[in-house]
Amino acid sequence: MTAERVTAERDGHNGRDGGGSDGSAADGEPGAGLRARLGVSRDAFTLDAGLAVAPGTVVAVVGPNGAGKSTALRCLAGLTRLRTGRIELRGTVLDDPSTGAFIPPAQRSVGVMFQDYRLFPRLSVLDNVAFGLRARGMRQRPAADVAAGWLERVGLGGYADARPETLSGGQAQRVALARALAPRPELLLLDEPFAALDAESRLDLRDDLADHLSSYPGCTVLVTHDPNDALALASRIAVIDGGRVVDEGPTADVVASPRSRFVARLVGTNLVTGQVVGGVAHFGDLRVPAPACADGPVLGTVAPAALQLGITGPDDPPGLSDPPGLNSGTGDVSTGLGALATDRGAPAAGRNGPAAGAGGVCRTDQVRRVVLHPGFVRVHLAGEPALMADVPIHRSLALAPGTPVRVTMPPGAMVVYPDDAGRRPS
Amino acid sequence: MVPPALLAVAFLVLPLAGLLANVPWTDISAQLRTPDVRNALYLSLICPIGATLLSIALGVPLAWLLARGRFPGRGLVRGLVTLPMVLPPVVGGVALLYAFGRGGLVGRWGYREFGISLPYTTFGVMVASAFVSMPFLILTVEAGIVQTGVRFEEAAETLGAGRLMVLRRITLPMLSPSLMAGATLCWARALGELGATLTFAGNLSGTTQTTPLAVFIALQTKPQDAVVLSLVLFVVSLAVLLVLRGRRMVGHQ
Repeated sequence: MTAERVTAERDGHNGRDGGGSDGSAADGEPGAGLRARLGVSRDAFTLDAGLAVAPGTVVAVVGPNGAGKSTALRCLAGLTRLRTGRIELRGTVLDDPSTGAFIPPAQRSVGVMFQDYRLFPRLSVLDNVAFGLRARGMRQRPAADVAAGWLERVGLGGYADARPETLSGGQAQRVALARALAPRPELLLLDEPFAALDAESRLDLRDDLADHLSSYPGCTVLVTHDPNDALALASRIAVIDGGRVVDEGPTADVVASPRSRFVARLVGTNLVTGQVVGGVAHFGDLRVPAPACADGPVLGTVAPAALQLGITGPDDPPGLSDPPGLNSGTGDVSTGLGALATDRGAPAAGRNGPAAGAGGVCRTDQVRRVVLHPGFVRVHLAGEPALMADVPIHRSLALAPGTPVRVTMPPGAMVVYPDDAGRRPS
Repeated sequence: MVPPALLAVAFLVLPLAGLLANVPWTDISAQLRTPDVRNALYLSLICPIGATLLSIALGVPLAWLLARGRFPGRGLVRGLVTLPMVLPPVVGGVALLYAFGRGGLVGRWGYREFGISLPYTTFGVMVASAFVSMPFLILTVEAGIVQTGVRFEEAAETLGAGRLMVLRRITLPMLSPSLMAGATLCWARALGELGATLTFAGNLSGTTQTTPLAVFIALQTKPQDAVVLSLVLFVVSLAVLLVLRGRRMVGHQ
């Protein structure tokens, strides 16, 4: 996220891509694609999530472990029955506890690629891919021909007679994809398709999967914890946390202006919650001008690379919080901050103190934790709201937990938008 | 560590050497053809098989429920049905007598209504053997079912497979190694059964006198018969071990 992209303050109702239907699954033409409201409760866990997928598109379901992603997938596959809600695929009701309608997994037009692939160990690769066709009544010979065609498509034409245990992780993944797609399901469910793979093969296989999905006419639901999967494969993202959809929208929007701490952490940005009063957003002791925002709850994001850190000199009174829109940061910054100012990824925000310029916000803070990343150091700060700032490695030597620092946020570095509880306008 | 370990090997292997050293190799075929020996071998062929089939018929469904079922007292049931593994076989025989004997809990009713009496019959031998050997099958198959899990069955379901196809193409093939291992262990245990069989079914040549019983009796009268029959059991046991090892069902290589 560069400063150019986030300079403009947005009110949350402008500048968003359209497309797709709302997370509540309330709209969209009847009979098209997947429309689901998934309600399950087990022990202390409750899932209540709406999901809508248009034909030919991919929706990524992301969220922390235990958020209910896999349960949602099991409901769609029919392996777990709904307690409340409804699943409708191309006009056919698959599950509706209120009417008792339930179509068992074997009779659903749904293909599942499991996280652990679950290739049948006692069947050959070809028989694995042909299994769904045989199960749906195709005769042995034509099923084998179709399966061989699919193996060809995923680049494993020579592996028809191989046993699943002899395959590499990436090959097994492609067989699992071929097996799920061979019966031409109307809904494809992908559960963490890359979780079992090493980082190297992940990149290539992600590209391959994107190719296959682009020619797949049905609906796809992709469960993942990796935002890169979502970016590469999905046109929309639904963020599930604690069994609820906390954010939903076009992938680029959700990533650019996250509404959940989960996504903010994934994309490595600072997310703060606050209130707008009279054109000024209050985030704890941070005050940021937000003239376009109506009064009410807001979210703010700022890239760690856009923040500038300086070691506070002895002259700086501790706890100083500068009023919004004032220039007062400049002088302090030039005394100590310049040496530590970040120069990674935020050219428009300026590298040195003076660039903080008009509208910049300063506060004194304390280092809580220093984490080394390839090429830079991420400094976690102790203040409230908690912020992270990135600093070049060679300038981070003076920083240790407890070090007092001055944080400067250049004008326009923070994007402020209304906190409307996960609803993104389409 | 090494001297006691060597001693242990010697302790376990020497008796077998002693047995082999006393085999009347030249007379074996003649010995094996005496009526008592042939009867004993015949009973030791059919009774363990009968006990194993009985164990499969009743034990596999129980193993399934123990592995997959969710009912109160599951642990208690598992403990109770595996008790015969540690129970002295003689106690098992006495218990069987007072359950299935003519005066027993169930046997009384069976004898009165149908004139069925189990003790001192060949089927009684199978019942006594099954009593002590079925737990081996149950535990092995249950472990196999638990280990296999429902993962592959679920995958097959999502691919459109109905119950029958899941059972035929997925469940049974996945289960066959543990079923084979369980059945073999069960059969081997039934083959060597002595205590419960003797107590419940007696020692009638041609009806209930299996090979281990014949060995036990022959040792006092015709030691040569005992040695030859022991050799047969020894060879069979060795073969079972090799089969199990070959299939990598027991132990770690």
